[in-house]
Amino acid sequence: MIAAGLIVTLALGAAHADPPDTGTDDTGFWLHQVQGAHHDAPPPAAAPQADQHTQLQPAAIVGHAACAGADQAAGLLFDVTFCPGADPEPLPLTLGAIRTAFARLPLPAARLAIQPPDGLTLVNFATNFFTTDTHPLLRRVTILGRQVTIRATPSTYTWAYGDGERRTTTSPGAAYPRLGITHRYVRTGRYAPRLSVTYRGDFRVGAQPWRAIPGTVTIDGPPQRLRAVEATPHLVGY
Amino acid sequence: MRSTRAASAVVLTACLLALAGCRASPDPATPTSVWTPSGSPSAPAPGPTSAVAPAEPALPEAATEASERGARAFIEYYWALINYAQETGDVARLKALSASTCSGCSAGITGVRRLYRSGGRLQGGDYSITIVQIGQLHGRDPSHVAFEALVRVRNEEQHIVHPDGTQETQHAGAHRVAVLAFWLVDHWRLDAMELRR
Repeated sequence: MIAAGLIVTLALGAAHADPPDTGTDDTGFWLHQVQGAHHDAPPPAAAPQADQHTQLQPAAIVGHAACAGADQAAGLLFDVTFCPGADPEPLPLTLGAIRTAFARLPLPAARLAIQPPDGLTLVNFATNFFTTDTHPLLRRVTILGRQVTIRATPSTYTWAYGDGERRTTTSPGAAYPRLGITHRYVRTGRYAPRLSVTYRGDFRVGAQPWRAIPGTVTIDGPPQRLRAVEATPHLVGY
Repeated sequence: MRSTRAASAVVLTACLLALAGCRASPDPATPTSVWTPSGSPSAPAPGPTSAVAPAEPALPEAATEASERGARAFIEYYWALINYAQETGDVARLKALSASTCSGCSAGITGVRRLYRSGGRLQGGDYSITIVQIGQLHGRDPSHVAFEALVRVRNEEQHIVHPDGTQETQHAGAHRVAVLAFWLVDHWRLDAMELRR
């Protein structure tokens, strides 16, 4: 027990005693540089100043640094000044950064519905196209350390019918029998119609009001298989 | 005579719902600001492959918490990065985890970078550390989390190979270094490093 007590005492004492001498003052490369920096440091009277231009992040600065909102703490090894940083935000939240985040959002393609179904329609028949993916989507992202909510709203739909014709509408179309977006294929054949949806964006930080994001994001949907055939008359006798 | 009544009809079944070919796109996970160390996990390659460049030390899990345990783990990690930098000249991670106001950190980083960029290198000289004293610094604002620590540092013998080919030997030694670890939202940073006599 006595021996254990002595060991504890020695261990605690080591915090204040010099480390065991190895017979050299060599510090190794890194500490030699650190030592040089220490020697080159300005005298204590000229305490380091928090650079208002580069000190964007909070910092614990040794000495009595001049910075707005300084908070000081005295330790056994260091007297430090906590500087909150020149800007309470790590970096200003720019519209450009939000626009970039909007452009990178993994937004879904709109699902294209075609009537008649099952990939088969008739030549010279009003084939109906529509989508039910019309609702705004909310996405929460972190931009420059701040939580931003982005709302992506489908604004226009571009219908590429696969026969070289395309049409852009603000309407998402409607299911039969309302027939909002229709197209007539004039020739029989196989087509690959597809729908692209263009989102406009708004954002808000916290509970602040929504603000528009410049520009739009267009997501192309996958092509669908569609065959246009001629109608075959059936004679029905009574 | 027979009367014939003919009726022709094109029967088109207009079924509802042809939701075909839609892309199943699960909602993506909301991006978050988790700080992920980019260093690959250190997997020391033993034996014949030991000539392979050393892997950057991985941030220990403990070093991601704002506590004394976290500060200890971070200080040990920082010294592992110093050893890695001395061996490879790669100071990127050290720079990222050092305050610009930390003159000691900057001196070490600049020294290693200059030596390697000019064609020099370091052989040996690994530091091993023991944290002999650690304590939290308390300001008025409790959101400031900082720990100061006195570290006993032992350095192995080291050969400094200068760009002109000349060599300088640093003998093994032991010193005391005071460091200051400061917590920044989601990670530690070294804000001071001073050699103490």
